Parts: sequence; C-alpha cells; structure tokens
Amino acid sequence: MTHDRRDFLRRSLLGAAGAAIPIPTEADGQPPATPTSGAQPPSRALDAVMLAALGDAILPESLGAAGRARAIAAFTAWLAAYVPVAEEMHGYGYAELTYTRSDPAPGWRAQLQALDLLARRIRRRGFVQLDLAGRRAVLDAALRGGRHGTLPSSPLGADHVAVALLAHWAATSEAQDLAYGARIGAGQCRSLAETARRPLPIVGETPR
Amino acid sequence: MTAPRVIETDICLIGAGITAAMMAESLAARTTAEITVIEAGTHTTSLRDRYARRQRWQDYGESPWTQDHIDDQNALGTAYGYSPTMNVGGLAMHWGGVTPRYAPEDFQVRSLFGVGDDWPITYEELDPFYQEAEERMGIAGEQGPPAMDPRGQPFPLPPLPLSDSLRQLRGWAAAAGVTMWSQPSAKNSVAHGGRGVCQRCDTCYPICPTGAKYSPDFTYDALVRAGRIRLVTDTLIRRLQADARTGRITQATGNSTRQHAQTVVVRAKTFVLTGGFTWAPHLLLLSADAAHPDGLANRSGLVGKYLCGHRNVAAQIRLPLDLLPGVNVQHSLVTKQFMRRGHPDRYLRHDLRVWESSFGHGPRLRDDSGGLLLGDTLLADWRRRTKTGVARIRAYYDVLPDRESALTLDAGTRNAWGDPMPRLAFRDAPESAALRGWQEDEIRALFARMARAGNGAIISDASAAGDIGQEHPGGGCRMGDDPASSVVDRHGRTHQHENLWVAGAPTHVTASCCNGTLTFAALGLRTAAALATEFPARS
Repeated sequence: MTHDRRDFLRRSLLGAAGAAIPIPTEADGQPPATPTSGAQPPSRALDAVMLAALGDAILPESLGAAGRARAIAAFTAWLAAYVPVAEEMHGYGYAELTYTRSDPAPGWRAQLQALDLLARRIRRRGFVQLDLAGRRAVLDAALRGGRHGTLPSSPLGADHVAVALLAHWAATSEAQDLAYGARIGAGQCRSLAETARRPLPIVGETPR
Repeated sequence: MTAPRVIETDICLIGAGITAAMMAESLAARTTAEITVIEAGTHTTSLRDRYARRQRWQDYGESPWTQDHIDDQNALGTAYGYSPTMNVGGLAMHWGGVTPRYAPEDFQVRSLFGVGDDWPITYEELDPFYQEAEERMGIAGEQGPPAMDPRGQPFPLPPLPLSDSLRQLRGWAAAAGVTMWSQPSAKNSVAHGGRGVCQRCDTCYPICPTGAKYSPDFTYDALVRAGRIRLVTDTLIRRLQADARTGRITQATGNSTRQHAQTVVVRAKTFVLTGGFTWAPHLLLLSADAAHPDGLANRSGLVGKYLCGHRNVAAQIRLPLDLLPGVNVQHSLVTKQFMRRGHPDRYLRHDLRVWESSFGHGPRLRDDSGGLLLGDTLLADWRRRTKTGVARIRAYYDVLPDRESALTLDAGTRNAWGDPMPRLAFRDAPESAALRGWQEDEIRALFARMARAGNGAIISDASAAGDIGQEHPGGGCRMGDDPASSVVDRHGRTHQHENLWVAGAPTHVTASCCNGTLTFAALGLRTAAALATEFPARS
C-alpha cells in the first residue's frame, strides 16, 4: 500500500456518507466516546438555521431544496457520530498507529457564528437574511486565503465548515454519479454480474 | 506465582496468518496428528460486524479491524511493507486479495540473468502447491497467454469480469504492444467455500463486508468447528528451547497477552514458525542460549538476513477514452510480459498493472483564476473535468537483497516482558543498487511509450516507498540446499534443528516483482506436504 494508493482509495471510496451510521460501543473494541471528566459528551449540534442557509449557498442548486436538506441532514448525522481519537486504519506498509483528529464541532460552530458576524459587518445583515449572491460574497471573503484549491476527500481535512459540508456531499456515491452523469454507484455493494455493462446514464442529465 | 499453562500437541504452528491457515487445513486433511496453532493476538472483527465497521472506515477512516495488534509488539526501522497487525488471520484479514503467481524466472535469476541467487526449487515444483492454494482460497482468474502465464491446471474460479473501462484500457494496452488480462484475485466470482459471490463493494482493501474475499478466519473457524485443530489465541511465544546435544526443539515458552504473568509452555513433536518475515526470524534470534549464542537455526549467520521485497514506479496517464471509473475500483488488468523475458540489455524484470482512475477528477473549490466555485458552478466544473479518461499504471520491479538487508534485535525498545523488538533495515544488493536509476527510467520510458500509443500523456509520475522499506517483503530465513548459505532446506526444515520448520514468506530467496501472498501460501503448503509424511496419514 502506497501513500498514493491509500489516497486514491480514500478518495474513491468515501461514498455513502449519508447512509445509516452505527455509533460504536465498547463491544466493538473501540474506546467509548465519553470524556474522562465524567461529564456528558458535548453536543455536536450546529446552528440548524445557519447550516441550512450555508447549504443553500454552497450545494448545487440543481439538487433542489429537498436534495440540499438531505445533504445537510447527512452531514449533521455524520458529525454527531464522530469519535475523536479513534484508531485509524494502519494497513500494511505502516508500522505507526495513528488516530482521528479532535472533535471538529466546536471550531465549525465558531466558524458559523463568524460567518454571521462577517455578514453583518460587510453586508449589514445576518447571513441568513442575505440572498444567494450576498451569502456567496460573504463566503468568498471568509474563505479567501484558505488552503483548499480542490475539495478534501473527507470533511475531516477541511479548514472551514463550508468546505466540510461540501466535501461531505461530494464524497457521496450520488454526487460522484452526478459528476460522471452515470449510475456507477462507487463504494456501494452491487451485483458482480453488472460489472461488464457500461453504467446507464442518469435520466435528465446532459450526456457526456 | 501462577502455574504455567502447559499445552501438549504433535504439531505446533506459531503465528495464525494465511500461511498457517493453509498449512493447518492441509495437515488436518493429510494426517491424524494433533495440530495446534498459537497466536499472539486475538480474533478481530467478525463477519457479521464487517458492514458496520466498513461504514465507519468509509465515513471516518477508522480502522475496521478491532483488537488487531499488540501495542508494544511492533517493528522499527525501514518498516514500509510491514504491518503491526497481529490477530487471527494476520495481515490477510485486510489484504487486497490480489493473487498473481511468481514467474518461472523468479526462481532462477542467477542461472538465467547472472544476478542474485537461485532458489533451490523451480516454478514447476511449486506449481501443484500454487494450484492447491488457489483451490483452497478460491481464486478467480483468467488464463493469460500460456507463454506468459504458464500453469498446470485451470484457475478454480472463472475470472472477475472486466468493466467497460477496463476493456477499453485493455485495448489501449494492446495497441501499445502490451498484452493484459484480468488480475487473479481471491474474490468469489461464483459462490465458493460456503461464501457468496463478490458484490464489488470496492473495499476489498481494507475490508470485504460480504466474505466474498477470502480471509484466513474462514479456514480457522471451519477447522475449529470441525475439531480438526486447536487454536490458542492471546499467547505470545517468546522463546524456543533446544536440546543442547541433539538440537531438537523441546518446547516453546511464552506468556498470555491478556494476563502478562501467566506463562505458557508448549510441548510438541514439531514446531513450525508461521509468523511471517518479521516474527519468525525475531523468535529465532530471541531464542539464543549457551549452545546457540547467535540464536537458533543460525549456524550460517543468516537468520534475519537477506530481507527481500520490491519497489514500484507508478503514473497516471490521461487518455482520450470515455471511461467511467468506480465500477469495480480495486480490480485491474495485469501482464507478465515484462516478468518473463526481462530486459535485453541489463537486468530488469517487472510486472505491470492498469486500473481505471479518477485521478484529477475531484471537485474543485477554486477555478484556474482563483475564483470560488460553489453550487451548480462547482458541479459543472467537476463534470467538465470527469470527461478526461485516466489510467493508473504501476510496475513492481525486482530488487535483489543484500546480505545485510536485515532484521536485528533492538535492545533499546522492548515489550512488556523485556524482549527487544525487531529493527528492519532493507538494503539492495550492490548490483541492484547500481541498476536502480536505469531500471526506474526504463519503466518510465515504457509508460511514456504507452501514453503516446494512446495519444495520451503522463499527468502524474510517482514511485512509492523510496528507501523507507520494500513492498510484499519476505526473507530472513532463506531456503537453500547448502547449510552454509541458507537457514532452511528446500522444504522449510531448518538445517540445524530437525523438528523446527519455517514456512512461507521468511523462506524467500528473492521476492519477485508482484504481490507475494499466494506464493507465501504455496510455499507453506509445500512445507505441509513434506511435514505430513512424518505423521500418521489420515485414511
């Protein structure tokens, strides 16, 4: 397994992010996600109204309101089930063990608040109250100087909640099918017998 | 003081990876001997939990394999190619299931090319055991042109079908003068071994959620259920004890990895080291005593030496083809064209594989002028860039090991019981080191010729691993007929201890230029066939 191959697989396979997500338990052999202080686990909830407004601004309009709402719900569920410092896949080729990053929710929550503050500063209205062009102008200002030219393969690699939400959607099999204009279903379990048939085009999409 | 746990058996296999699984199944079929497999780790994720664990890996990158290593039992040094995995099934719980055979030339590089060392066995001698391994695992494969891909019998399972993209890429390769076919794989193309057909979930590595890909736990579970073997987990064997006069191994000793103070003693007629290229030589070196100050089986001084593997050169090639990557992400085309005849001028042998690729197709946040891409604008940009066909291409090339490509004991890093951990230092033989730059340039030139033949262009050029280790490693207990220049004989029996054998990866002389697991298993089966003759046959 090479770095190149590992990244290739991760990028190819981070599909189905919106599928049902089981929360790990001690019985799974993973450490439970409870803090050592004995306090309740922190809520990972993000401001739902802000998140919806952000989703409307960054996700494709062609998904429709329902499609964008599904993408946001999937992102929220993904975040809720995140376990910090879980052991990552080591595979062969890597002697060292690595662990998932710290909880991204607090930082993302703060970035949502900052987006609203920025909107009030440069547009004199809250982010939610802005029209699509206004929200995108605020995002342009907020993301200026960011490190992402391409979307990261996982939300965990994002430097901003907007990038994380986009990356989460883009990693789904459905998004990749839209990009290729065909029902490929990468990362989904599918019949082997269908392998030899060229994936069918998505009805209503522009042919390649 | 806790009384030691004493285990008595006929045959003791130490290390429950894929080689031991194959051997245990073969031995149980051939003999009535009592077979015990000792494993330092424990059972990892069961089949019923694999969908859920796969989902966590896809979503978060979490390891899908629970309890798959022992924290302070790890290797140091140029450990690329090594894995800390230590569980029932070994590394083959998360292998990709790619199962090429070595080429006949791999066993005769000195005779045919004047480099490296010959193995004491030929491809023809190993062929029946390749076949046995393929049948036990259930290998789906396409017969390549016989001149390139010789084999005594057909593959047990029909090949995995090629996607439309791979068929197009096969046509491109053919136009470039390269004959390619479907990569043999330990994935069920039809139901086999009580397991279902592959559902091309695209996650063969690191985890197949359906069980269609062979993993050794299936074999262990069946053997234990049938009462044909005893599987002892959570038990780290730390020393072998040899009779100073006869050299015979009298017992293996170790500790429970759950209750560290609990000692374990295993008495057996025969011991087989099946712990792979790291832990087999490590145990021999750890077992040094007054009569064997350099470790057991080490009269030649070669235990831990001649670690071998290969490196790769890889590229992404843009092609004017209408490809839809993602139909069966981990399946590929393969050829042995460059493994067989070698390069006409100097020593270069390599495999070649081609995959459909989505390289460079990822969605962008900014366009070429730095403008932010959001909403439908982002999607339109993404769609535009997927219209470029891309092939991923990679060649593993044969690297000949230096004698000092070695595993040693690192006194500075010890486990819970104070045992020094292994330190790996891969090193090319001088003849390989001298050729390396030219070899990699030649492979890149081949890639460039193939790109031109398809009116394409190389868009990314990479070779992996570099000097941090080698891929599909083996060696450390190389086989040979001369006890002065090898550790085990042509069947895997140590020259120095008549009831001590080493099986699979460590016995390699050289490591070919393709994935090694099938060969590890075939060598183990050959060892099992020889070993079985020393025990009563099962009627």
